[in-house]
Amino acid sequence: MRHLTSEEFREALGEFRCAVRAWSEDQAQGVIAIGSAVPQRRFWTASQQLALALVLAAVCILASFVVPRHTGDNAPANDAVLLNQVDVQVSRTAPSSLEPLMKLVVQE
Amino acid sequence: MAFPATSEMERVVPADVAQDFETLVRLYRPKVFRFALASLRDVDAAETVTQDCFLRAYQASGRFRQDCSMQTWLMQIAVNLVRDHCRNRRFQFWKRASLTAAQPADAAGRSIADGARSPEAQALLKERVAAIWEAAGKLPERQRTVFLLRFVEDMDLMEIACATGMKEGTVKTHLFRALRAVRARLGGTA
Repeated sequence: MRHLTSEEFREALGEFRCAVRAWSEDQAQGVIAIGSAVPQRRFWTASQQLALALVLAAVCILASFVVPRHTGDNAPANDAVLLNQVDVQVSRTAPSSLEPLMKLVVQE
Repeated sequence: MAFPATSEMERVVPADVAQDFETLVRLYRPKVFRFALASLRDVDAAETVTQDCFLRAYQASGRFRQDCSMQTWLMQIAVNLVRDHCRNRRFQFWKRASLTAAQPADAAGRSIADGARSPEAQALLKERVAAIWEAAGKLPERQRTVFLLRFVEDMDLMEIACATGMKEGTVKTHLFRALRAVRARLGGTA
């Protein structure tokens, strides 16, 4: 194991500079649109999108446990119809099977 | 602190940033992207930082006082954005999985394989490039920033001081420590 001379170190740094520049150009080729004017900010990276999707899924699962089951918008109307039917049944003077006889009695 | 124009680029860029922003982006975007990529080692993050950099430059163009060069001003914004990104990424443990697997040493072959060197010398240089890359990645944030600005972006000490907000003496100290660490890593591979 030997130490580098100053000349070798300088040469390595110079090569490092060239290599980073070439590498950066390679990486930029698919990214940089030549001639684009005012830059447009990209708001979401792929990992941020994944994180957002996971958070939304977790919120939905929690909400399904926390929020009470909804019984339906027409429940009060159904209740009113049922009470009306009960009221009609209770207010009869005779059972439905004896109602024809009741009519005869009134006529006599 | 006033910096003279150091390249043809500096003379091309107009004084009023907002007037010809497209020219500014075309000239300096590769440089900002390269610094962000070398610092973060993540293509997506580097692209985001680059876009943010020019967005902020556009928004703050009215506040550009021309007390430093356009390049230095943009690099100052980029350095701050990279620093913020590094701090935020500490909490994004899954982000490590998306770091790019490619290395500058992969691209080093093209510049090294110029026919003037023997295959052994080419392999050795490629190995040294990989070692410098690895060593740079292990440097503390400030040392890495100073190292990359000096040896990749070819900025002088005053420009680095302006871009990082450090004093020139502090830049020298960080650069010395970074070089010592990198050289120690290289000494082991040579």
